[in-house]
Amino acid sequence: MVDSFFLSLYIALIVTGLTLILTVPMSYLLARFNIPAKAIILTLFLLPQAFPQLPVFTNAMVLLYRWDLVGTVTGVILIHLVGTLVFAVWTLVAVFKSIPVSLEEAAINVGASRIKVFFSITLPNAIPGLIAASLLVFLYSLDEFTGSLLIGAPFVTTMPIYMYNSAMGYEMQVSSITALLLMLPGIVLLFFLEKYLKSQYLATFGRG
Amino acid sequence: MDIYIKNLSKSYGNKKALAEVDLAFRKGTFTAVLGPSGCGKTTMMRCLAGFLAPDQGVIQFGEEDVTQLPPQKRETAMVFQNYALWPHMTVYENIAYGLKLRKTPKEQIEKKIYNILDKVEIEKNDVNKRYPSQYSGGQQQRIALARALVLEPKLLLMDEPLSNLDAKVRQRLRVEIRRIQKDLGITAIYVTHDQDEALSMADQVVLMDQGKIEQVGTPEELYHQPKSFFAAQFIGSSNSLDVKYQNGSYYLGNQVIALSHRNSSKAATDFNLVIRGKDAVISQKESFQDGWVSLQGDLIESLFTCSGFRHWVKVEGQDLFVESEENLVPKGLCFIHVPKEKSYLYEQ
Repeated sequence: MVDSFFLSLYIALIVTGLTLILTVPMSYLLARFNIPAKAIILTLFLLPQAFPQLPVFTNAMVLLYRWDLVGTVTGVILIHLVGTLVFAVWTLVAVFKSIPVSLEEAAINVGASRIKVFFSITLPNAIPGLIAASLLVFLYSLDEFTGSLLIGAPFVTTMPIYMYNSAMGYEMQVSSITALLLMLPGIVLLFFLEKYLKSQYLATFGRG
Repeated sequence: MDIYIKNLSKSYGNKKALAEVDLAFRKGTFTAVLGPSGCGKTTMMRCLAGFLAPDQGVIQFGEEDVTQLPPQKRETAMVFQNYALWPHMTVYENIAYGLKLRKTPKEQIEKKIYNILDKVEIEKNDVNKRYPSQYSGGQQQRIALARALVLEPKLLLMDEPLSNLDAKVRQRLRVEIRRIQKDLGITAIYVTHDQDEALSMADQVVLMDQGKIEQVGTPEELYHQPKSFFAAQFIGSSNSLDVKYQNGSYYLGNQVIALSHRNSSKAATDFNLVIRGKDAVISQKESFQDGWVSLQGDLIESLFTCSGFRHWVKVEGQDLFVESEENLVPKGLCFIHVPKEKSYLYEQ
């Protein structure tokens, strides 16, 4: 049980990291610049959510078999990304859009390069939003079951799968404890999120 | 250093935001760019700052052609309508940002910041600890001004900097901005849709409409000698009346207007007569004054304004208002007189 707890945390952390690396630059570009086919790109990201999860994951499984990734942690991480990229892109585009363009223009105007502006002005102002998005992604990955079962079983046992297995084996006590453990990070993080959202720093947000 | 705009054009799709604009801004002067929203004034300012590339034309800072120069290299400083202060930095860090980019030594940064804070009258004891959100709107705009001025820019650009503030603060900051600009001898361009602001602050007013320049001149020139119908009706609180030219005289409905015919290109018959509410005199006794245009109308309503009364009058089915100090009772027949030189007539 302890192993699967740490495995779940490990996977969730990597998924969160990868998601941020992949989506932050993309969301910024989508939010700030007139990219051709912007609407199509955003819809494309929503597409996996438009279908029931099971067929999407089963189809992904066929591909992952071909690449020999079924039953590996990498495979589970990839299948989690299918869901988290959607969450992240849609939240982060909104986050970047809520930062007034004039904040960036003011910095360019006094001589800052585009890169400098992104790191010294845009990113610090996006941090509350980035934290909110990463928490969503982290919790999604931690609690993800269907994909993990299809791709990971029987070699990769994350917490939800461990819980499922023990429930199937009628070990109700064990699965209850697992469920409690699974709740713990969620509660702690949501508590943290709320504290963060209330901070005075966020209050200036959007008022420029 | 004088600043020139030559033959500048910019379109968005089919809409011309700027159409072949030529302008000069003399060193150390304060120019107000005035016009209704969508007239192209903000587009022009963004072209000057380098945020927008014009479709054609040249922008010159002195001898130097800066049209292709990126905004970072233009050495302009912009003040935004929403202040655009960085909320995650203290006031001190906000002002220091540009200086740090220029690798100014620490002691100099500090000296410059405290100097400029004196100028804009911001208490400098706690700027190290306080964030922009802890200041009032008026103070935030002063801080934004300090952030712009501390870099000693070649050109100060202000995009409706006072329109988010309440009336009292706005009045006060107008005087302050003007004072600071004169003190530093900086060339300033101020975009606004508020004519009071433009006329009271500027050395030179540029009146724009639909991407074109309607008139350039001192505030007095714009007010007293409007060159076009647009200028006349936009500046001051004005009435615009439809007038016809027939058989050698002007008619407003059935009333003859005592104005001599001006040379117009065509044999035009439709004209606009523009009269400012302040220039007209209203009385209830019939009278005639030489050199004045006289109208007869029906007084409908008088509204109290703090400086007097605003009288709504119907003349031949057209509405106009006249301002005077006294209230007029009863309503009904009245006579309006306007000096000829203040009756502005334009071809329709």
